[in-house]
Amino acid sequence: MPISKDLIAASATPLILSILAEGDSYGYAIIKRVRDLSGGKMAWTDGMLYPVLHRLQKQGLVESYVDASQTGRQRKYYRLKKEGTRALAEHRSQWMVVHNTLQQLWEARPCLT
Amino acid sequence: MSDVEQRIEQWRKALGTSDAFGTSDLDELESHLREEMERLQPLGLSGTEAFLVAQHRLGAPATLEAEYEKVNTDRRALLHLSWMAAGALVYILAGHVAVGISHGGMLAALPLRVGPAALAWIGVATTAVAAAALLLIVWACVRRCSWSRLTGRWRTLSWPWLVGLLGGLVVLDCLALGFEFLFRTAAIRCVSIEEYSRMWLIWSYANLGWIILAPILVALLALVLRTRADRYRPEAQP
Repeated sequence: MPISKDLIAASATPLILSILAEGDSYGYAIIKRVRDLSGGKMAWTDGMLYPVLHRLQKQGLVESYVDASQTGRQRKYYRLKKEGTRALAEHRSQWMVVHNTLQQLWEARPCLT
Repeated sequence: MSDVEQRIEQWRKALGTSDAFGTSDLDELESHLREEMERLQPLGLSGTEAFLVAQHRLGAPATLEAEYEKVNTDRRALLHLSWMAAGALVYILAGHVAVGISHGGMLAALPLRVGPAALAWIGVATTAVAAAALLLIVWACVRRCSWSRLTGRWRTLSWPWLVGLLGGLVVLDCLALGFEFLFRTAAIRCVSIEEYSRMWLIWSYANLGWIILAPILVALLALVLRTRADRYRPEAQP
């Protein structure tokens, strides 16, 4: 069951902020984490993650720094800022409203198919 | 260089021809590509196969370009502004150099003891020959390059280099202005002020022609390069 592009786009920011709330990370690891958590159902086009990360950086929600990986390769890591934590809380409350609303509707009519 | 490394380099170069990507963007994408390849190869894929899969997962270059363009609008605007400033500085430099060369030609022709009009025309001819030689040199340097390759090379210039280029052009402009004044002073000392005024009239008209002709010639050169077959452009999708 592929997730629609619109839903993927809408959930990108809260997903990235939530992953960064667990600790600093880099693009490849963020995508891998989303893939693992969704059981491969959330198929992001890998390259699309970076413009989103850069936009969040412009908005002052995350910051970046370059560090060497264990293999010696230079990686750009992203870190959540205080503004990012606040934005994540806002996203979370909004998504919970959507989640609760849908849950109530679907609990009332559990068999749609 | 191995086949895979060549493919990675070609892929990066193809992306680099767009000014939507900065050097750090390309570094980040390349790092991602390599990590994905490292994950795929132990699963039994060859280097080339791993590259193709990783490249596909990163997304089509046109799609990536469109997304990066949206994010890098400020950087692109500043980049365009910098290149416009560089173009204006080159144009000013060309003007100073043209006057300097025409005066140099005239000074060199002084021993011929010809009239001021002939001296002025010798100066104009010297400038024309120098401009033609410069165009030929530029043509010889860039004729084997396609437009995208040329612009791609300049677009990926990092900011310190770009600032250095602009600074260098300003210094060259100042130097050329200095030499122009030196040649003018020397010319005024070598001929009478009346003769110099007559020569200056001819130079002014010739200079007017140069001001109009130079951008047309440069535009023609750019047009020829742009319409040529893009045979040296690296393939985005091997």
